[in-house]
Amino acid sequence: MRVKLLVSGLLLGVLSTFAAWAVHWSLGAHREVTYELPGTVTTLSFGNGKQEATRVDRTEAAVELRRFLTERSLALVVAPSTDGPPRLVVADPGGVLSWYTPSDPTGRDPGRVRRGHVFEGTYSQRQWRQGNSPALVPEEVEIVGTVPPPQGAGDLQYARPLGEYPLPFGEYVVSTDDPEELAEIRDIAYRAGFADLSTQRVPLWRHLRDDPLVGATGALLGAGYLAAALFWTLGLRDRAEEFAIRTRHGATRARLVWQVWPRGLPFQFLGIVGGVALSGALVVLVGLQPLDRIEYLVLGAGAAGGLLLAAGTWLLATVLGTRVRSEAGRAG
Amino acid sequence: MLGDLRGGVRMALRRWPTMLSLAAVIALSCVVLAVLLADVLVQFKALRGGHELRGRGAVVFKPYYGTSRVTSVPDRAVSDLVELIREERAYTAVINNVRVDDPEFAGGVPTVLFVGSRLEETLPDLELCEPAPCAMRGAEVATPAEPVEIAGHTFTTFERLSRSATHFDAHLGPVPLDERLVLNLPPESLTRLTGYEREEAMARTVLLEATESDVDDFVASSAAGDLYLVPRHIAVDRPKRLSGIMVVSTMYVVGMAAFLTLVLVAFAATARRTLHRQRAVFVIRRTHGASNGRLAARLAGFVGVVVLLPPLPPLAGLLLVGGPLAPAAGWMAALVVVLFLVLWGWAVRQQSGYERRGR
Repeated sequence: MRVKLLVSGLLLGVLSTFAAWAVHWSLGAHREVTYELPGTVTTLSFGNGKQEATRVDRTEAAVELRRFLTERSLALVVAPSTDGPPRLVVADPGGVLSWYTPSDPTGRDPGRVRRGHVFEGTYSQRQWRQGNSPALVPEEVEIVGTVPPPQGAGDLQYARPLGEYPLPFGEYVVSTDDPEELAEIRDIAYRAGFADLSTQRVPLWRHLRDDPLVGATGALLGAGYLAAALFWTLGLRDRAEEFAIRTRHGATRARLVWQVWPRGLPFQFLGIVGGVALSGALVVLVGLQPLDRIEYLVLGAGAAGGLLLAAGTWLLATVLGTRVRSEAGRAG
Repeated sequence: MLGDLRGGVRMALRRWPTMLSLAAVIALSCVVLAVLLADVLVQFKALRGGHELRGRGAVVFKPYYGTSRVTSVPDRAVSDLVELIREERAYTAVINNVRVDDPEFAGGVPTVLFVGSRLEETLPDLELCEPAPCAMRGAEVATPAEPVEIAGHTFTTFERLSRSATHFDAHLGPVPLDERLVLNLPPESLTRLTGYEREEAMARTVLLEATESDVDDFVASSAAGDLYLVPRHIAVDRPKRLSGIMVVSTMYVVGMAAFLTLVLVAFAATARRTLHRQRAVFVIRRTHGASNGRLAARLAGFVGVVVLLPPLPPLAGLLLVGGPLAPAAGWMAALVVVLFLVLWGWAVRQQSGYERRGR
């Protein structure tokens, strides 16, 4: 039984790690990218609208938006959605973005809006360091320095301030959830010829339910525990004779369960921890990325969850497996 | 002999609670397998595809579009790409944008374009027709009624791709081809594609054994047309997206393997227990002169009614109905038969083992 518990624990450990991993990823995909804006943020998605707007209208809208943000001391990061160069457009009058630290944050210099900062560790930074003008930065932007990329920047190459050039399409992440302020921003965007394409956020439970990876790993995990329950129950039936004899000497069912159940736990524990370690190693080997702190936590959660489920299943198996039937007395 | 077979069946039926739960486990694993197996096969190919890309030092690109219209990729950028593909240092594909403005193209069947002889080499599981230009159809697609015309080539014959043929893209992950047409084009046809197709062909370019200046030139020439391609050297930069795709594939493949092992172990344990309880019956039969063959037949009846009988009818049903679950059902049926043979052989050995030990 020990080997059985160890081996099945190992396999269940693998399955529960993967399920935990899938949930972790699904949560990550559901979480809003905030580009490290502190506090409450709202994401608005602006694309091409039906109303007419010239380049001048869009430039005016950009200036107006910047004025509005400065008045209310709001921070804004615009990321490209379907269209837009690989850059973030930033307005941070309050200086709340820890990663965006241009040398002249007040922005009195009129040439300021042309100046961009490349993100550290990007292809464009390498080109800039070699003294070339980066190919992925349009000519109207002059790179004057580097900044560390915010979380979620991915493949984006540089950041530039919002200013006297046409307001860009994209995801507007703004540090407020005040409906009045948001309405004002939408209004300005409307005058730039934009349409609000923001979609209702999918509730978390529906997001998890519709995630195929969560479904697949969950199904494997659930089916795995069902198979394990059967396996363990039948394994205990091998000891039916022993249980029958003990029952005749006065052992109650609860006592039998209480004797058998805790003795199996250490082996399950070993098996599951081994399985979790194994799948962690696999993820590192295949992904070629070291695990970060959160991913260690996910492994821990996988182990804890797997263990909890296994302990419950093992309890069920001991209850079912120690049942002494009249025929058990005759066995052998 | 037939009587022995029946005897075995009766022996199994006498333990119906165990047998019922076993049948339940088998049904359960059939369902899980039928639903997930196709995915797992595709993911397995993705794992190999990603591995090959890493091994060959490929450079892939993440596109950003400078304008909201289709970008005007300069002719020079396209002809550079044609040259790279001719020199067998690049390949590309158009997956989502083939004739986007013509929904009736190829009878409405989604179509992908492949360009470059290195593509097949990088995806060892994919067998493409030769020489380009030539056309193929996924296993689920009928030959189009009308000839398919693109970039000055007309295709009338379509080779059939093997089932669950899969393309691998570093951003999309595995791209199953079962329900698509595949057109294998020569490099110079890139210049005759539409704007959206050219844009996607540029963005999906995979450069192999590329030098730094190759990459710089490619990026600069497409950026001149407002198409910003951020290069990623797969082996060096280890892009997170590709890692994610490969870890997902591992989760499918290893998860399925772990589950199957668990079911098999549970199964073998149960069969062993039942045989152990029946050993007396076999000893009595042996002492009354039953031959090895007869005992084996009895065991075949016993194992068969447990392993073969419950899952085969539903699997056969799935196979007859067809549809997306049919291939998985076929695989599962084969697996069940193999399982039966293994367990039967193992049961016969166990049985003779009990006899030899005289228990």
